[in-house]
Amino acid sequence: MYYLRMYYSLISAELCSQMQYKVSFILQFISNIFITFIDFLVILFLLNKFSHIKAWTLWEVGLLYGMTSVSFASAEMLGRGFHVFDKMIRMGTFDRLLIRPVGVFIQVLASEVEPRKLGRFLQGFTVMVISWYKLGIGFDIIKIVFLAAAVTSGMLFFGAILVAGAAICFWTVQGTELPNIITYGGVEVLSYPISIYKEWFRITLIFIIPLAFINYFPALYILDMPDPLGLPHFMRFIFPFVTIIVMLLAFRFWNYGVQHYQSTGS
Amino acid sequence: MPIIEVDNLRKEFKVYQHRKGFWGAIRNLASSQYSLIKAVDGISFGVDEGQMIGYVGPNGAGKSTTIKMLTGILVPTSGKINVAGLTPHKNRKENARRIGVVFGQRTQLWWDLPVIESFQLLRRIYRVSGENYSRNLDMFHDLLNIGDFINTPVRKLSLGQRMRCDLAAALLHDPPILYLDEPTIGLDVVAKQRIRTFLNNINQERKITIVLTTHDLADVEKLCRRMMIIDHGKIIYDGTVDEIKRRYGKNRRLVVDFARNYKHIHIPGSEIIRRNGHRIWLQFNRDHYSASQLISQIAEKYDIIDLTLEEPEIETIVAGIYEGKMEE
Repeated sequence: MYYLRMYYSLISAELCSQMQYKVSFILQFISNIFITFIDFLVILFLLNKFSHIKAWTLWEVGLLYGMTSVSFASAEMLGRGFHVFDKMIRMGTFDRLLIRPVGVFIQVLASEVEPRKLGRFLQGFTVMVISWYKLGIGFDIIKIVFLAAAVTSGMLFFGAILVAGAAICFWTVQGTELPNIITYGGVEVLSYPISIYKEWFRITLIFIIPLAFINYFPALYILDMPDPLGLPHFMRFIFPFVTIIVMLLAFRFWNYGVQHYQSTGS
Repeated sequence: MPIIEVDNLRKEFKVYQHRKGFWGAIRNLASSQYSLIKAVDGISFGVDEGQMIGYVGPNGAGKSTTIKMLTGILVPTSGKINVAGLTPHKNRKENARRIGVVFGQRTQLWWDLPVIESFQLLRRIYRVSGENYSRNLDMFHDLLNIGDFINTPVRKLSLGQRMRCDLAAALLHDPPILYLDEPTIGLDVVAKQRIRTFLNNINQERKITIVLTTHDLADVEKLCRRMMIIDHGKIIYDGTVDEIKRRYGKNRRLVVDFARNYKHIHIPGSEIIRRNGHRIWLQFNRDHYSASQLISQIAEKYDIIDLTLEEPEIETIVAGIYEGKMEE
């Protein structure tokens, strides 16, 4: 409760700061919607052209795409503090978080927010809803809750990667491309069913960097589909545990990084 | 009873070779090539409650690193720190409640928000009661005159105004200890004076313990009885400001204006260090000669119009100590 209130206070300060530059804020919001709209057209165009990929129909792929988009856009929107964390280290503003009687994790989380990514979120959400409708799943409350859980889990998964990526900055000071490869790369890769990829790559996505749990496995349940890869049935239900493990690892790494913080000159 | 105790404190930095780009970053993570820099090299000291201490040293001497360890920002490599019963880096949050920190070079306030909103946020962060909050705000109005610009966004404030607000922000939660890192840097004379008066006031009235790092030795001279000098990570002086003048400032100067132009001037016990027309600058050792001895000697032999005695300035003394030229 205390953390929620703290988060609320800090994030409203950040939003107020952003509103100080109203014109810039509005322009960026509009351009963001415009960019994602073009993105959306490209996907529609591609899917229309190929109508299905392996055993997957257009709307099944649409569901996969929508799920990752929504997860990632939420993570980017809320976890921006970690995404641009290298700036905080370089400018020395991280010091001021350490002299306050509040955990640094929550302060970094509340240091930035990117409402402009709402455009991307809405676009992904729209694709998801249209696909859902076209697939004729209907108002199945269990599946809707399942979808919400999967998308939330996906958001936390991407968030954990942003946190781990931020923690690297404690040593490198400069931001690395490593988290971007996993997040942006992951979003691209997950826009298609992982069953289309080569075996070594699939194994990576399931067991090494388990991005497949963000949309592929939960989608199999929603679509009542037998796994084209022939993996056991329980795989489609364990995504929350996978996310929790990834989050714990990221959090441990973050705390380890904080202990190694070296600050900057003067 | 010391409120801050530091025992054999060390901080070493590993400076890695930075390679650029993605693969460079990967190699950075794996490589173990680094050089070791001893920023703070085994210092020990104590600060009593209510004391105001000046902590000085040249750039890169280890001042800021010490302050960052005291505040809990950095984890020491070895050694002990005890601040009011806590180890700052282990009890970072509890420690943060009891300290106020001002970094002169960097504001603690929200850049784009009006000052008052920063104060309100800090009030929530530190959970200051409504009563204490308004009492403190009133005090800052009186002593720092911040009322005029309290509704202005921080980015529009002058450096002096911003520093006053930063001081107020650091004291909002009534911390018993205040750390100041270069609080007067870049300020004009009037602004500096205002800050000094304020610091003196809170130190006297509220018995706040203050640790002050600065490049401006006038700050130390005007505010602190005690000063510590750090160089190359080691404390090379710890004592009163008067003592340092007595110990190191043995050479006083006498400026003499003669009535006539004397070709050869010789005054035993002193040395002419400069000459400009009728005016000469003499240097003499205070342990061997008193000023009056010297003056009467001069007055006996020559016609003089005016005399000025110059005490060694703390600036010169400390600069001499940094350069290692100062003798006791």
